[in-house]
Amino acid sequence: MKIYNKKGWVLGMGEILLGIVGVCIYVQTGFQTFDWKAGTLLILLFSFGVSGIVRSCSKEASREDRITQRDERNQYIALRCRAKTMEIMTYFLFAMVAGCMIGYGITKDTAFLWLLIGAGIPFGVLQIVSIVLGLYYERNQ
Amino acid sequence: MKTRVKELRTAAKMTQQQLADLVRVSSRTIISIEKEQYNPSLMLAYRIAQVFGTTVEDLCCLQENKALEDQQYEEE
Repeated sequence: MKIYNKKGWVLGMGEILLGIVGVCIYVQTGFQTFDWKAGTLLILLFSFGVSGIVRSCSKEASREDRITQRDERNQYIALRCRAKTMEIMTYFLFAMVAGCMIGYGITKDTAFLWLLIGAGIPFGVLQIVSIVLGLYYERNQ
Repeated sequence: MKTRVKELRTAAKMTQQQLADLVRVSSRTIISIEKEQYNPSLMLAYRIAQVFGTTVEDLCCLQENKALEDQQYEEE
């Protein structure tokens, strides 16, 4: 059995192992917390895992997967999605920070302070990382 | 951006999948190029031009597209 797509094979094995770990946990707990959602998740994990391994051992399927990964339009779409997601998250966190500051200013409730910290830290990290990466790419591109 | 990809492909009696396989992209990319929804990179345009034995300038109708862009720029 030759592996044509090592990354796909590793992902497939990872999914199967996760499924096995899940089954072991449920067996250990005597299936007390097992419900239809858990069952669906396990079925999906095993399905994707087996499918990933079968595709990684098929020359034609691996070639298709490689083309899909390297396809410039797919990469462009992935980049745009990530950029838009970052933009939306930045605005969302900014709105949360502003809302919490106003909320605390009006009500003096410490819950707003905690929310402010929770939203403020990722917002600050986003801004700093954005500036640093901007400087890096400006220099190296 | 307007291109001659569909015109040249149908003249060569080639399917979108066949062209995609030759230039190492997905058929979805070829479809998007033909529908003018996606502009190919320089290398991809060069590969497609080579398949049809033409130049990038001719394949991508660069003169026409440049004139259109210039016109839009003037109108802004």
